[in-house]
Amino acid sequence: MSQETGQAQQPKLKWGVVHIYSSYNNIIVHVTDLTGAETIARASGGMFVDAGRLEPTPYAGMRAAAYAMEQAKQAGINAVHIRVRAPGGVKSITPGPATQAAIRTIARLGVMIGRIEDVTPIPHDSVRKKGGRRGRRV
Amino acid sequence: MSRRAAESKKPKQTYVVYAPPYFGGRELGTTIAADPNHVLGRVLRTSLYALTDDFSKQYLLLKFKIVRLKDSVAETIFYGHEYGREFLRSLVRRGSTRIDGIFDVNTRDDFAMRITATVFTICRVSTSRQKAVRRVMREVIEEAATRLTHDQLAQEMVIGKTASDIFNAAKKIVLPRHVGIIKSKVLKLPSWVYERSVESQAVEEAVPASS
Repeated sequence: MSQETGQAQQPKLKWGVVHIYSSYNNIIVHVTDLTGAETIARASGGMFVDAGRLEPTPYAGMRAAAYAMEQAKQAGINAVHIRVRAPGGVKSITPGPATQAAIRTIARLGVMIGRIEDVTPIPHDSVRKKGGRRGRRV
Repeated sequence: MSRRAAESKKPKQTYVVYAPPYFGGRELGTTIAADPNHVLGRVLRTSLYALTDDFSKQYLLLKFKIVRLKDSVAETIFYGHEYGREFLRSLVRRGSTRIDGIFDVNTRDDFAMRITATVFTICRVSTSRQKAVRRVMREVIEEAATRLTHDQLAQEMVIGKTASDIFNAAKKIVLPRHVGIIKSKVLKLPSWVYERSVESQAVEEAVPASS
């Protein structure tokens, strides 16, 4: 094995993109290649907690990020760009409470972080809220 | 479930994606696919900083589309660009006018592009002046599109030549604070893009057939 050469070589960076969709109801961490067309790993908050109300919590975000990133690291990803997204449109344009925990977890896993972008879809005018003309009837 | 498991077992090949020669031809990254046909048409986003090592250009994001494969090497073309959302937000401020103009143009080599130019002024300007600035923008951009090929236009937009042309023309009407092409996208690609490489097209244009 040529690993014992003593000279520390910088590993070649293999970039991926972490798409974090974070609402007030859940978090989805999705690791893809640079084009976004090929999924490498995917996890959601609901995979790690039992109650629906706990899905958007920082704990669920942390577990989801750790799970997805472990799989991505096994696939050879050692540097990532992060794209954070809230529901957007007529819904919330601020990401949920799990986002920060997820980003912190990714940083702590020893993966290099490139750009962190907010890609929440924000309409220039506005889109129609769901529920129809007469609103949601409960 | 079993079908998905079988699909995931297919060995996937890695393809190295390179920037087009007119943007330095640097390696942009890698993409993986089970079938080479899946790679064509994929779009990669990168910042100008990654291509030029100039950190002040971190805000400019470029899109490249994969149009051709040679073994495991993927060739790309310029597919659009935009200012980063935060940077654009930082330019907008109270008391000054933002004049936007969105124009659809055809380049000399038949690429249909949509170009968004913006002028930020130092103080508020009247609607008639805004209209005049928009007219100037249209003239500059349409003139550039008829004169240049897609790759030349892409370079001029990204480097800032088109923006500086608009600046020089618009400063006779208003006092610009910042002028930029904030966004561009390719609406339609000519069919030759997928047939021939970008380099061979450039060579053919430089040396026209003698027949």
